Amino acid sequence: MKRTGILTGIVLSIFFAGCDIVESPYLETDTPVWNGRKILILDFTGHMCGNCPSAHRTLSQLQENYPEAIVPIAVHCGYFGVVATSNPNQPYHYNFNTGVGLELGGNGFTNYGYYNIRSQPIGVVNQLIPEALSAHDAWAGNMASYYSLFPEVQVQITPVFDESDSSINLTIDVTAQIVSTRNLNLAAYITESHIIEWQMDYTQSPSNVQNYEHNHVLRGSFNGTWGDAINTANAAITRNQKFTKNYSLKTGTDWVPENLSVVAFVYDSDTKEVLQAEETHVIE
Amino acid sequence: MKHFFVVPVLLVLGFNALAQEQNYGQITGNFQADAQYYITDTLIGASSPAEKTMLNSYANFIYTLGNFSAGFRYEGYMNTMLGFPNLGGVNDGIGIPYRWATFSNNQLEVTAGNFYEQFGNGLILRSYEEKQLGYDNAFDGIRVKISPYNGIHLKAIAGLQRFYWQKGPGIVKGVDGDFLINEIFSGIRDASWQLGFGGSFVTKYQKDEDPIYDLPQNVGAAAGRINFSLAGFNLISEYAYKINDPSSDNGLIFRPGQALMINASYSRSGLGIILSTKWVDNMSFRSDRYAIGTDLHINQIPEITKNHAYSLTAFYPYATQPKGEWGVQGEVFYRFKRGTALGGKYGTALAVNFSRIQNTQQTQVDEFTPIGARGTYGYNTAFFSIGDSVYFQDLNIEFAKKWSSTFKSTFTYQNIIYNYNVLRGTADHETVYAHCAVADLTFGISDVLSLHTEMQALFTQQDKGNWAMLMLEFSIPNWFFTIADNWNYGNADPTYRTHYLMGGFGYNNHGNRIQLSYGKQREGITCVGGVCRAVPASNGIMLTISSTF
Repeated sequence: MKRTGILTGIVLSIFFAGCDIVESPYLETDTPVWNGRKILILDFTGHMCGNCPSAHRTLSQLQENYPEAIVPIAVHCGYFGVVATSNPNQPYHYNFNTGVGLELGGNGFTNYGYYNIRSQPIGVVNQLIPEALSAHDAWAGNMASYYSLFPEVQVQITPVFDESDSSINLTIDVTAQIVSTRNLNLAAYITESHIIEWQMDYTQSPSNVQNYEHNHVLRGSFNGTWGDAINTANAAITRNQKFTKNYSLKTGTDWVPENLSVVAFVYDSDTKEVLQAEETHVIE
Repeated sequence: MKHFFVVPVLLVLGFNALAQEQNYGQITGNFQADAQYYITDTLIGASSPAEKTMLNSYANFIYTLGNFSAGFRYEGYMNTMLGFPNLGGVNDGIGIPYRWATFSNNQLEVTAGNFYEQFGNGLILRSYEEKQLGYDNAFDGIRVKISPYNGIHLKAIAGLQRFYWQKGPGIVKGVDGDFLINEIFSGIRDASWQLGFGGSFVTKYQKDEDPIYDLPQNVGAAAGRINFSLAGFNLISEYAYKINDPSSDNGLIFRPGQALMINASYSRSGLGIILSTKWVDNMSFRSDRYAIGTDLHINQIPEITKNHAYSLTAFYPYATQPKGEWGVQGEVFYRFKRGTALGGKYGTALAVNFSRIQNTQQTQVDEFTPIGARGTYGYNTAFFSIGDSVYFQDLNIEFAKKWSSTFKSTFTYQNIIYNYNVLRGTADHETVYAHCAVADLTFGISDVLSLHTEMQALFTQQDKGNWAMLMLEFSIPNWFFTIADNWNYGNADPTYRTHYLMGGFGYNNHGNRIQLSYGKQREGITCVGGVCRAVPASNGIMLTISSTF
């Protein structure tokens, strides 16, 4: 019996010898090099999604670790994003939905949007294709695959807030860093942070949290869901070639200008890969 | 996916032609198509997608010639019916996701291509498909089975798992051995007792791309099992251990996992007794650490709760909790002899089943680290610790009696405790306490006409309140006609005291079946073997066509 036990122990030791037992503190020791490429993360969320705050915390952790590289957008949509009541004194009365958000993620009842959102939280990192949807725990790894790449284009946003009519006038310069023939699109969204509203959070008790801080909330777009084409027909792009676009948007009545940001991103309209993203506060 | 199509079709067509001309080999298979036309019904929350009609279909073709067999499965989702896993539209499409070839003789079996496999009780490896759930974690790779000596059966596998029309990112490899002592030692082959041992080891490799945490790329799991029987007594037990495997399931914690299951049973003529227990901690094991839902499971923790068939007794089904659970189940089945007072002329059967599942006890690893904190050891727990929280309890009694040559009945009572928050992933829902009663009666009206009725009632003060159901099914040879009404008469809000009426008919002959129905289906959850999927409310027309050949 003793011999059998020893033999079993030896066999298991051989098997497990090829496995990776990680010791505390469980952290990577290598710090990746950042070369200026900013990474867009679309977080498909909803105020009645009790597991979604876990994804919000994942985004916060990524922003803490890589403050210069992460450009997040919280897209409220789907089954958990519906307005539960018209009574402003009741939970989940606030309408976070936008036309862009519903086109991307659907309303969860009659359509599921471009991304076919069937469960939340879920998101995409730098990819505008449904097949790239992943759980929030995967976002760090997905981000890392872009983090050290050199940006093919640079995006500069210059917003001007006009108090007289509460509009934002925008100039976006896209400058090519390398020679290419990619077909490019430029999309410009508006987001708002520090919105205090109801959020279901299953890590809290009670789970209906009244004063939850919603950040990076998608409010709308300057140029539609998919933006404007800035290079088509695989035309040759030279290094330092600049594309300039001007846009204007009237802000919503309950938007707080100091909390607004413009997010602009350039993507390859064939592969749907986001090549560069940028975020700028409307009022610095 | 499309490039898989041509080769297997040509292969089977070629073999088919050969088989017909020279009478070599045999082709068998089956086919099923389920289609639904959806109608919007805002009262029950039923939606109509842009496609209006959605279709799930599949067909298996298997060719066998002596020691050789090969086959493939066509699948078509145009588009995937609502409620089936399809995040990002990943399941939509048509193609051949499953094709394989096997050669076997007395000592060796080799399979190349797709296959399903189970090691022991599935604690560290079980791949299977369940169309009702939209579940398929088939391997694509190679499998070798060897029997080098009487009573010794060895298996080795390597492959990637199916992820809808793609494959998961993890490479899975495993070995398994079964050692049947009474066959190995010929002197005890005819002993009154039988003893067997088994062991398995499985490893998965997935690249670590996380820039923050040092995630294990090679995760191993091992299991050992025993099977002993004497007269009518049988004991099956298995223990499994898995090293650190941070994943979306456990919130990226680094503690290892363990599981133990024990199943003892006794049976003799007319009597059966089963006692089972299991204890599970952190045993979710997938070939993609970030997979969610029912995707890419390498293992399956066996359930020890009863799978109910009636609509209302299955209203609150148990979903296995690989993150941690302790459970116990007992069942006694007794058949009263014919001719006795309780047995009557045609016999009577009584079955009593009880199961209860609770959480495991977890404590903080230190005073600063919350339980389950990401990027930590997670928590501490003692082996076989049992917590205070009840996840599920089911006491059910089934009494079946045939009263005459034309009338038989089954009466069922069920008492349920259902921890809604744990089992449905919510936080503030009340625990559901429910009673359920079912009368299932079958009358033979004439030699060719029979009537099957089910009267069901579910009573609860929580969730959506009381339900009643009546189902009538008339059968004549090859045909059946059904009408059923699920009525939520006890809903606290009178607006939602809805009747879910459903009517239909079907034709059955020589392995072919066609069924057409129309009506409403309530929102719920369906589980098979402890694996569940949500079923959305729907209103519409359903058509099912199936055939075996």
